[in-house]
Amino acid sequence: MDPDVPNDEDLLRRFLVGEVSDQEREQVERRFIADPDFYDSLRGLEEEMLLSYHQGRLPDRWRLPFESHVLATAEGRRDLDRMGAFQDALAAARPGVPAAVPPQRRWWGFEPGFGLMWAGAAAVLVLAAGLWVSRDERGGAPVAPDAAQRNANIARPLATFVLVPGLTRSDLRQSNIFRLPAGSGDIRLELTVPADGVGDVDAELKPVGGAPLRIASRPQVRSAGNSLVVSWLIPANDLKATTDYLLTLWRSSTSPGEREAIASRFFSTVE
Amino acid sequence: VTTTDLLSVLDADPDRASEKYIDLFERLTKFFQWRGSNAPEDLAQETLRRGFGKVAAGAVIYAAKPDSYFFGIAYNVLRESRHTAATDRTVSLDDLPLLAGVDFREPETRILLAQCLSRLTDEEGIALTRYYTEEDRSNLASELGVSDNALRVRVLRAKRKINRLIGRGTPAGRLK
Repeated sequence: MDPDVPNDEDLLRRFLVGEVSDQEREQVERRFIADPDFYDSLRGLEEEMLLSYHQGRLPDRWRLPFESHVLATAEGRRDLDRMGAFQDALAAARPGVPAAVPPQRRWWGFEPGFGLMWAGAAAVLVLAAGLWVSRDERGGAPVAPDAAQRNANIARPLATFVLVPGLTRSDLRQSNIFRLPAGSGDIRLELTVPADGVGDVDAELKPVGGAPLRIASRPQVRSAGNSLVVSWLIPANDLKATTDYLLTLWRSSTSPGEREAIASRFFSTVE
Repeated sequence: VTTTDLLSVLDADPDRASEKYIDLFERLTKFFQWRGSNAPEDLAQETLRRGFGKVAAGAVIYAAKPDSYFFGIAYNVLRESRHTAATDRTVSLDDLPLLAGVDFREPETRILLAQCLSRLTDEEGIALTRYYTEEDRSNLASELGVSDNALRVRVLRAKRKINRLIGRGTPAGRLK
């Protein structure tokens, strides 16, 4: 298949989110079995949807079925996780990435270049993470690029936990399960919510059945079409392994002192 | 029956046969994943075991494209998997090429990535890097003078090349 010949992209997107008839599914399967180029087009589109979701840029039309179909499976969440890891690693390995400038904490702030700034910051964070783990595992001098060595002292390791909605802690296969990084560092808790009517927000994080943990950082918010991607940085040491957590996002009510829950996400930690 | 003999049904050249085997495994895995199967990699392995088991037993593949033969088995495995666990292990795949995805959280893998990027052509490297670090990918496609689909395919293939280069050189790429 000529890659410049447009596919029926709507059909392929529907195929990927499970919105096709049996006949349409077989039609797509026949094509990707017989035609490796068509298969690559389909895989490329899947990767593009994963990347858009990760960046909070997947339109609601696709985001909602993507979450309920793709991210409801362990493999879908693994693909998203791998894609995010690759994106971080690529930003870190990219030649000419500027030295780290810690991202400013903004409230409702979104501006052009924000993503690039994060990429630059992530580059150093990721390089530092590599150094840190290398030291931890080998107990000797790390083997790492010069840039990482120069910047290692100004950044902390960062892991991102993308919290998918609709998953409960009752079914292990259907849970948000994350491995805690060893040692110190930060964890970014990230979730996507509809933007409609959201004003000031606050978050409460607590182990199930336990007292709320203090979240010292302000939320970071990115606009993404009709959605907002909200995230917080918390010290990794604040979370315990093999524990179930509930993160609740609150919206300030018009009545002072009252709060309204916008969203909640369960997740579990493992060592 | 040697591994080389088994893989020769995919291609007479051993290196190309190994590449095709990895491609086939990936496509089978995605087939089961897109069908919503649990443990798609296990089902893909099962499909390959059965297919190569028949080859080892003397079966001759007449299909012009041997992929079709394996996907024919995959449909059977899919049907069976919905009723019972498929456990027909007639041939060991232990010595066949490595299949696991590369884990870019591994520090060694991240360091290798920088080296592997230099193995890409300029065109591949630029497309790959900008695709994953910029947000407006349609604009990037326009700037590079290609369609959105062509850019996605170019990037996918560059990433696949990176994965395989890294997979040959690090423990992260070994079959789990």
